[in-house]
Amino acid sequence: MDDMRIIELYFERDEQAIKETDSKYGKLCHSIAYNILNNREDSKECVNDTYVGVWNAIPPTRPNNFMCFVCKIARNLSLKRLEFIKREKRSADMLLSFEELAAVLPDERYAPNISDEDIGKVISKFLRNQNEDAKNVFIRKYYFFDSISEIAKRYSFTESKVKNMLFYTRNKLKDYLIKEGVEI
Amino acid sequence: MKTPRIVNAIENIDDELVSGVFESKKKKNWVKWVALAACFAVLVIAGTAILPSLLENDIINPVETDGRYKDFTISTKNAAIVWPWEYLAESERPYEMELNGVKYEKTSGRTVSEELIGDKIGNYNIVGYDGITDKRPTVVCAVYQLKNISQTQFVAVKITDSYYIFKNAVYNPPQTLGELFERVDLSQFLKLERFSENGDGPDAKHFVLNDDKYVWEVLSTCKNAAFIDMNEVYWHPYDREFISFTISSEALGIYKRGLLITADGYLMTNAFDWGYLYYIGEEATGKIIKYAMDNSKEAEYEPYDNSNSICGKIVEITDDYILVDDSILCKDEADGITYKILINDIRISRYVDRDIIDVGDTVKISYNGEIDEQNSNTISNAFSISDVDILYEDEIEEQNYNADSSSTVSKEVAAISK
Repeated sequence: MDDMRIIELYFERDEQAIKETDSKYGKLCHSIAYNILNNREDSKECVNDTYVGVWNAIPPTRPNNFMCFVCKIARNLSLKRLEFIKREKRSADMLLSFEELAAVLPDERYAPNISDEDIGKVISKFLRNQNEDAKNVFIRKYYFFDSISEIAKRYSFTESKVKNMLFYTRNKLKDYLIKEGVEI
Repeated sequence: MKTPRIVNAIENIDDELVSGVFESKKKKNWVKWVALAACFAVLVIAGTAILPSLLENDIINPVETDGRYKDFTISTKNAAIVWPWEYLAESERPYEMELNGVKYEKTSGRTVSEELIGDKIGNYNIVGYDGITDKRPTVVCAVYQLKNISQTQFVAVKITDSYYIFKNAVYNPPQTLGELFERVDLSQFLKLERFSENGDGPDAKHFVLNDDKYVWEVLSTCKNAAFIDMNEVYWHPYDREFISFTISSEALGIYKRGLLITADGYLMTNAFDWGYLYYIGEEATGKIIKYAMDNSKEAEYEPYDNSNSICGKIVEITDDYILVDDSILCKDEADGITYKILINDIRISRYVDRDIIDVGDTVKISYNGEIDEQNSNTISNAFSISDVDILYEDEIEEQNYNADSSSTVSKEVAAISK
């Protein structure tokens, strides 16, 4: 079923909407949640919460890009849940990703007057200027939290190359944020 | 650890970027590779279509033979410049033409030698495309048949003094392998020589086959193998065991494309730009793979681009040449060499004309031929210049960056000159 029709089902308050969302994007949501939470039970609950979130948001929201809308909710809920999970239960990959990203922009003490939405726009602008591979690898890693090995396999790069690309992109992003007035 | 702020900010990146990661993979497999304004981009896309690591040119680690250099990795910056028509070399200009109601497109920037040219078909309008102005510059050129190749698939067009291959641009995949061979006798134009196992990057094992006759014999028994439309099914070689032949043909206007044979019975090739996939059966692919492994010798990895390069900082730009000093790469700066790059090719001069490069920039210069060491280290056949970032290995280590990167990256041999 196409996304427009699924959104219509939400507007019609038809519960089939959730079944269709699950059948189309359930796997994707599970993979985002599992990448973040490293636990099947928690991931499952997060995905169910995602559907509730979508149900509550549509209507009135009518997302332009339904897939991204669903992903965003799944990612957000999974990250919130991660805060309650003890450090030792978190995956090494996630911890490393956090450490890497903290070096770019750690917390609210930095750039307190700029919203996350605005920083998101600056990051979007930065990513548009990167070559396609660097851009995709960055998004795969830090939006979807795919592992290095998964990314390497997906794009047929060596793992070292993926790490190198991420390293470069993070450094360039940090420089770019400073240049764009995001105080770091 | 608290969630870093940027993690939440990344949640707000534009939807098109997020959904773009799903589209790009698909594109690489089966969306038609259009002639982009930047000629190299066509090669990148074509090369990556089924062999994504064939051209890993955005991060390379030069291997320098005389020991002057530190360990470093260079990364080319985003270089997708769309040049105005007048700044394009003829080889870079995208053209198309219509012959008997069928659209043909120029295949690549490579020229074809006169001995492959057959009878003249006639004079036709060749229509270019200027990516800046959207105009369509048109020239009248002589169109020729290619010897032993049906003009329904390929023709040669003489533009200025060189012949270029134009290919039937209509997507009309042969429905069987036999039909593919009827259109073009691949055994005549492709030499199956170099191949790699389960990948094609520097980490894969590479081989040179002694003789490809048996492979073509086996393929000739698979003429009924049916075409599989990759727009309909998801198919990717990387969850399969396979060998991948690197194929080039002057007459077909292709350079280092791929022909894959998978252990589970598939043949796939991007020789004709589109990915063509056929199921030829496990028996046939098993025979080919066994034969290839038994009748080949292991060989060194060969990078996609065999041209030479130098890298360094620009120290002077004149009307006639650019001086590039590579001492920033040297263990001892005193060992640096200054190269004199002659500005005699539009692909170099346009960077100077348009002020894209400046003194102090770090650049990589690619060239054909040799450096004239007796004459101020002059490079007279430079054809490409790009801004680069240099990252020294010790800086990576300092930042506790993964130690294994150096060992793997060092295998990514780029042909940086001595």
